[in-house]
Amino acid sequence: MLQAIDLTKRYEDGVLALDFLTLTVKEGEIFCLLGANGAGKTTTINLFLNFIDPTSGQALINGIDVTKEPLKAKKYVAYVSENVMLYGNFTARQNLDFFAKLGGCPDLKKEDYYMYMRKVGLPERAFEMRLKNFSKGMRQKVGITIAIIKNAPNILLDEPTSGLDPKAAAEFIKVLSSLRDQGKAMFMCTHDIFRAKELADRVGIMKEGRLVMLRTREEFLEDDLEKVYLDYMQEAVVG
Amino acid sequence: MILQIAIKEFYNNLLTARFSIGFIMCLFLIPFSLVVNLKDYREQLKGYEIERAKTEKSYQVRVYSALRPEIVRPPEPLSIFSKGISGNAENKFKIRLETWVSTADGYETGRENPLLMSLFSMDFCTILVFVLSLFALLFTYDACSGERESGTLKLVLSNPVHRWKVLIGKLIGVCLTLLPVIMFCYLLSALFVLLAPEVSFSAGEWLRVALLIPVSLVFFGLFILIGLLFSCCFRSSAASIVLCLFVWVISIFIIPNLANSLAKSLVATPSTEELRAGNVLLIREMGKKINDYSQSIIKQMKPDFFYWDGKGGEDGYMEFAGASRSTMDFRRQFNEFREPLRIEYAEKKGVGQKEYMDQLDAQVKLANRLALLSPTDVFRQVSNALCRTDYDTRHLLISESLQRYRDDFIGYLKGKKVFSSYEYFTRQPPGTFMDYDEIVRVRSGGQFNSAAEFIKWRKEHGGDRSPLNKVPIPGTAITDYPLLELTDMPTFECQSPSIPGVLRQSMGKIAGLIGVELVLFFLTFVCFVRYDVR
Repeated sequence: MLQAIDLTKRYEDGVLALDFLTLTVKEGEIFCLLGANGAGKTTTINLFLNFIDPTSGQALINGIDVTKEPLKAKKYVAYVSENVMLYGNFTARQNLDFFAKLGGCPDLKKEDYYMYMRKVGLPERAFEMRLKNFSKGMRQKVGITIAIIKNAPNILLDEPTSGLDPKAAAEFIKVLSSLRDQGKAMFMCTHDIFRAKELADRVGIMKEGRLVMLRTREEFLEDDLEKVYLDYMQEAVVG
Repeated sequence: MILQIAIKEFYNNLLTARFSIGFIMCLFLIPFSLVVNLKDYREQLKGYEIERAKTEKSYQVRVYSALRPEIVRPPEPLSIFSKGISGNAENKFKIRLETWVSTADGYETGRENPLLMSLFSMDFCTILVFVLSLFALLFTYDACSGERESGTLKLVLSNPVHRWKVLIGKLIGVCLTLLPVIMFCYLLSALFVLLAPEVSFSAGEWLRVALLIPVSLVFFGLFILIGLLFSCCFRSSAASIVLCLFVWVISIFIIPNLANSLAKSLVATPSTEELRAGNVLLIREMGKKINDYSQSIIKQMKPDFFYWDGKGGEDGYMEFAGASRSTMDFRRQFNEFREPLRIEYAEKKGVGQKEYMDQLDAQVKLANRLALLSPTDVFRQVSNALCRTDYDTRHLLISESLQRYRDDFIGYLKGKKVFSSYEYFTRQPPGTFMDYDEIVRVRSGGQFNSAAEFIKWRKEHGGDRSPLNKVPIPGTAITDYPLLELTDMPTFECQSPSIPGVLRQSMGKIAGLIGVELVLFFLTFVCFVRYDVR
């Protein structure tokens, strides 16, 4: 479970990036956070990963305060970034091996990695291919495989479908759905309203560091999510 | 965890193009430098053999006044690894009574200080410094910033891993990458040396080469830490590489060059013209004293200056046979006064020369001290010391070994009392000395009864000396006598700093490098712990 309690971040230059964010992402739930660039989405993820310290408030992973016990908290979270680069000179399997060991799974064998890669739909020929020859979609699949191997109950995803072609994005979404079915709590920052609509159990819209809208799946399926989002963004521009 | 990160770094580095390029550079440049330096050494060796054969002749003399020991220093085989100043300074020295040993012949007249380190002798250590320091920086400048840019650092740190472990892992990984390259370079060079028939290293020399390895590791460790520090200071790899290259250029080119220039500006040396002018005054003063003494004993002894066979020169050499007793006595008394005076004036001239040498010494020491600001120069100074091509080894040769040998040589002559002996200028036994009158009588077969008669006849006959050829007197030709037995003459022993001595002397410099490395590591650690991975 991921929890933000009155989470606030004001940078040294005075910019208020996150303003009293309070939300909870439960097991088996996908929470999509929408918002314009600079709204505070990535800041939220950075706070959950303890890459930056909050000005006030708490970020909790499975009830563990990330500021107080960052290493313990990181055991329970996996992270998929917008542009998974990984180590280009390593093969997909070698990348998985390195990150699996970092994530606390030192005993996996080659076949285990192959199995995970099959699961996310990576073609067999790519298993021992150097990552620098991968397309973005394939790299994202390796990225999500790293998160799957870590087997953390919580996953943070920062614009994971950005730049993917529709087919790759659809495949990626399918993987995320199956992870939800396994009970993972997923917090996804995205611009992709359509994928959010397709996947999310709850959607939040963030504007200037504040969570200005929160809708359950039932609620946003009734409304036109795109229109709601654009209305909020328009307000931001006018405001 | 550290091991995992280190292995990842090592493996990742091995697969990069920069590793392949760097390795190929080493593969090309190291043999190139070794081939060039081995050829250089071979030529020096050839020159040394020729010079040595010449110097052996300097000991084949009949009288002590002809004795002018010449010392030729064999080329330093370790210069293949580190040339130092061995290429600048000469290796042939002449020991003279009238000259204080300062340095080799070619140098006294020069204006430049040849003891200042030359910058670009492309020896093994220089190539190592150039290529591998750059190598160390190229593997570390983006160790953190590059991973931040590609996003992998964020992914790594999203796992339960301490940042210090990541840093140590990276450090070990780069060291593991560079270590085989350094070892490869040393093994390659050792192979070249082993395969070169004209070079044969003693166990001590191999030990000196082996000691270069840990010194190299300390040196490259510093560049690794510089690269890592900049990588942790900047968010962009471009900024990091620019600063790394700036430090590299400063360290390799600017500081050593600037140190030499500054030392030359700050410590002025008197011109050789001034030095020579001072010497001319002393030589005149000495000449006057010798002349005055000569006139006084001529008045007193009234020598006839007759000799049958004789040679001489302005440098104190004189050799006679068949000379009249009065000539022999005059020469003996004259030498007894002149030779110690020449030694005394050599010391007086030496004061000026010593001052000059001290200034050069101060210049070199200041340049070396200033250059310690550059880690490259610290490595160069230590490697030169280990390879016996540094200034201190040279200084020990000039100030101690050669000076001591000159003192021993003079002591040897004095001990034999040769200055007051006939043997200094003739091998003819004093018992066979004859008066001028007697020589004339015997040689002319009784044509003349006295020297006065002969001189008068000679004047009338246009200087004709042929009547004295009528009856030869045995033992009156220089070549009638064998060469001097010089088995008891002191031999020259060249001192060079011992390995423990070099280590003691270099310890401060190496400790300084390690100290800087500890500071750099601490700064890197602080920067990495605070590094913004976003």
